[in-house]
Amino acid sequence: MQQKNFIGKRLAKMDAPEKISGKASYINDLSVPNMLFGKIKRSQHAHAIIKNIDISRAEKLPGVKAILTRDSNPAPDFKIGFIQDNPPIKDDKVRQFRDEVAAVAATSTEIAAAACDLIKVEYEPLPGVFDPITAAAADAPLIHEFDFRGNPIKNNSLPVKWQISDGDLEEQKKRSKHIVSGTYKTGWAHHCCLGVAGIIAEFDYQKNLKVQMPTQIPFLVQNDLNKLLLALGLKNKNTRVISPTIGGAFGNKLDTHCYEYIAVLLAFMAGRAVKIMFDREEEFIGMAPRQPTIIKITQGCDENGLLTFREAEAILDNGAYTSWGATVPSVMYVPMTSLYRVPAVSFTASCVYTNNIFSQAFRGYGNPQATFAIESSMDELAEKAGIEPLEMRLLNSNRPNETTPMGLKVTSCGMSECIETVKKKLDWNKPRPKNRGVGIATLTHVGGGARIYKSDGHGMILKMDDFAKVSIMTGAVEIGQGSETSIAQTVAEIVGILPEDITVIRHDTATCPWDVGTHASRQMFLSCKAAIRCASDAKARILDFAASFMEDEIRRKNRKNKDFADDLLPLLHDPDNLAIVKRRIYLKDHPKRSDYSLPIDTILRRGHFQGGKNGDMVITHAFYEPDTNMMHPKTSKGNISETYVFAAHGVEVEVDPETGRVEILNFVAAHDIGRAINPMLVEGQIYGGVIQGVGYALMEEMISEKGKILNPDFLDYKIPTMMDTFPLEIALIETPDPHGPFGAKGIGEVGIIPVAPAIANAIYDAVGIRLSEIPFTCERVLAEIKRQGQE
Amino acid sequence: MHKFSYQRPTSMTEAFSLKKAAPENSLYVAGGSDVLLLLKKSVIAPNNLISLRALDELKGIRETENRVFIGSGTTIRELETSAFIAEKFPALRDAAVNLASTQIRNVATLGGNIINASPGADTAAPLLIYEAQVIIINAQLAERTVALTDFFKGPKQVHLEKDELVKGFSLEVPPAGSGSAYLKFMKRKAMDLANVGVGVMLTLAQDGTCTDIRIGLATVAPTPIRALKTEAFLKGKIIDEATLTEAGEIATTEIAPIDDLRGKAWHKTEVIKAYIKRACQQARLRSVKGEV
Repeated sequence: MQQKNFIGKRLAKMDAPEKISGKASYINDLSVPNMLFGKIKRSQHAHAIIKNIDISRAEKLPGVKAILTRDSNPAPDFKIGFIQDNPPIKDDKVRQFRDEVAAVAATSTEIAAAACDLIKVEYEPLPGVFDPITAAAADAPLIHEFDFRGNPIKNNSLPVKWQISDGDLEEQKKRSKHIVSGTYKTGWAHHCCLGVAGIIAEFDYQKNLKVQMPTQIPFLVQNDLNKLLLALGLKNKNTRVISPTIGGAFGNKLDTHCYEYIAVLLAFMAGRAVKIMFDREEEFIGMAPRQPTIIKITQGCDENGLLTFREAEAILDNGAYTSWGATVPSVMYVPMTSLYRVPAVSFTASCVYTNNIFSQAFRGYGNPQATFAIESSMDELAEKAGIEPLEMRLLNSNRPNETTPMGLKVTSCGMSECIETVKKKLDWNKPRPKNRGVGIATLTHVGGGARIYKSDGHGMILKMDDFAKVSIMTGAVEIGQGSETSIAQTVAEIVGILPEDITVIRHDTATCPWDVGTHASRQMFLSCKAAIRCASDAKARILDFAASFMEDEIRRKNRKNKDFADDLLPLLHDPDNLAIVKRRIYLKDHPKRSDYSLPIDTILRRGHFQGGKNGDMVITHAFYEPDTNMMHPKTSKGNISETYVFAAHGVEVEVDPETGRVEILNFVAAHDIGRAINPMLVEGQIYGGVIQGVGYALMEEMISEKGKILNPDFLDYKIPTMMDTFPLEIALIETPDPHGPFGAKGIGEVGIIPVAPAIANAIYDAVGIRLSEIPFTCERVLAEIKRQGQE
Repeated sequence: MHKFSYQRPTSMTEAFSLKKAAPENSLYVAGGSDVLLLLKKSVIAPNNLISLRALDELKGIRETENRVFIGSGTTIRELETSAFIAEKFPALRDAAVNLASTQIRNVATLGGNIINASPGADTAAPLLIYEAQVIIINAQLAERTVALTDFFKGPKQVHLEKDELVKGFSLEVPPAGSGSAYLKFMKRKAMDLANVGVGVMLTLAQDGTCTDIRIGLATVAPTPIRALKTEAFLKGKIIDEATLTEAGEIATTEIAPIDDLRGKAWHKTEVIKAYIKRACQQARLRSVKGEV
């Protein structure tokens, strides 16, 4: 690899000082003059008809400025959601405890809350359904009676078909020597962003809307809210979306949410800015978690342990409305078809409405659930075939330059190296004491964008000022992953300036070019691809200026220099002879001739100030649209990403057979990342992903009873603390990718993906129990140990 | 959150008279770490909070003859960092170290933890094994003393009159050669409530016979309790693996755990069995090492 100045360097995150000192402004910190405070009244039932809403007492409360209910809703027919099934303020029915029945804007949060308490809602309770299998039955109570077109709905299964297959399944079954089947379940897990949700919505006097809210998708928010403006009869009006510093996202902020529309509606009604700020409990129940899944999987292999087929069926508890959670099977396709080399695959999934909390994107987007099933099953298959589990994976490992059954074009692939790394670093085959064991699981995921929307593009503008300082206007959203820093490293590397010369302007739809949103581990990949173009063009422009003005400036610089030799002056007129290093322009072949070097800003000013005519500045832009395909509407196949990542996680655990506690002793996460633009940021992402994965595997669980979340707080929803961490070694396997910026691939999500199955496999190795349901709480582990002891 | 006034008396007399002025609407608050949660959730809505933080009478750790006085206003952090507590009452230190976070321990008090009377109060089991007496003071500044075992009335309830305050606790100094420990089973390793808590103090004779043992249990009954049957079983026995396993079984007959969000009763019962054993082993180790 070519030596780089900034690429591959461990630079501290640009936004770190602001965040760690508390200087960064989150939505909690923001206010606008004269704003009102909004509060939402939620349902008292999981499923009920709203008979009457009485606001007479609430509206008399001093300080109340607007009350939004179905009776006062200025956009009564407006619905949101993947299949437009969710009115921001509920109309005829409530279908979940979280449902927004009324909202109040008042001069203080306390008054708004008091007014919500004074609103009297009369319900007629309906029977509810709380698991997807019951809900899918023919006689189950209907959760939605009509679709968004007004056509009657016959059952609770979502009208979206998820199906993908490839190869001759029956033939492969016939030639299988060993076959295993299993059913794996996962539950609700919450993102637990430390920064809770909130919004300030305000209209200007031209009825254009401005919202400040943390979001991963500013431009899709603009699109969504512009639709609301149309529904409000506001034609040709626009929404400006500004996101403050974001305190965690993980998919939680990948969609627009009811509370955001409610804030806009209240601001419209009151004619004043309205702020809605969630508390922790609302964050748990009013946002949307990762959905529960039930995955039945069957896999086979031949007598040599080579996989023959994989057949799986998933049922997802969608909850009462659709958000991106309803599209999660699309990403399950990736591991289901393409993790390991499998000649025949078949995967189907159905999402079913229930009266439970509805679901949303969450780091990995279905991949963790699918990988839990696949990799638990792989261990079972290895055992049945009499092959050591790690060796089984090496046998079936993905390889570079292959097209998978889904049509994913794998370019670089370091999966085997990842597995070997785990083997070596965990000293895999060493004898271990009783109750200790090791487990491994691998992953594959998109790493070069993910075309799930009509554009997967990224827009960027670069401008240089008279002091050679660069502003980058980017569509990227900084959700903690470090996209700002990697953009700055890229631009500095290419232009020949320093990262600290660069200011990244982002999170504003009015000043930044379009980007589809920060999701699918795509941001660094696409932003850096656009940054390479912007920076290369900017460098060319600077050198064009230099070719025009350099001779003149060099003569001026050296006018008192008696020793100056002017023999090289002619070389200055060809940009190809010039180079920029650390803010200075040099003659490429004469780098030591400082008399022939100038700081860039001298040249930039010379280009700008040309005595009133022909002045110009360096302003460049790029829109990078990856060379990928949408999934085919019928076959679901297609190369959705420019590249794919692979990894293997190995874990050593000790299980306490008396209490069921699982202790992680050692963890190795080996990731094929193409190339690390900033290894520290890459490791940070993987550390975070693994710890989040351990929470998902061992303790995190939203407990729901007949649709009611019983633990909507950190008292009873536990995430790992610093004290719960363990020795975690990260190995970065560099396989420079032909499509990646400097060879890099996206790794934002993937640290979480194989953690649960790696731990499940280690528990099996330690105490011989196969856990088929996440999380592996002490109770589940001990119950399984006891059950097995009785057998 | 409900609005309230906040008063900070500097003498016991003032503290009692402020309470008397509005007995129904006032609430004493020490560290506030439990009170604030209840206020935020609107479980309580007092108009006045009367802070006990400035009352010197409620502070301090003092030796008095064979016993030790610990003021009810002593913070958990003080217990955690006191060399005296670590030496004399290691089980109490075990409990303090594992209670919530440093920030909470900086404000939370021993008195508050006991008066809140959670069945899982971290400091309760250690105080039970050190035979704590509760020293109660009333508006006339008269004092009475009640054994901690008799102080708990039920979940979140104690035997305390409206015009009374807990001044502190009187603990018996463990005899030389004894060892004690408190083990807390949590879902994660920090900042968690006890799923099960077991405190043990034991004294062994030269030949290893248990001459004295006290076991305090948290989270497995409506109040923190002493496991008297288990104690009786172990007294006079050599403490070995088999005996401790049997002791664990006996302990399960004197507990009444319930299913809740933090754990199922059957699992708490299993953990009690294991933790009785482990807490006894830890206490024995400390007695052998002479750590008291």
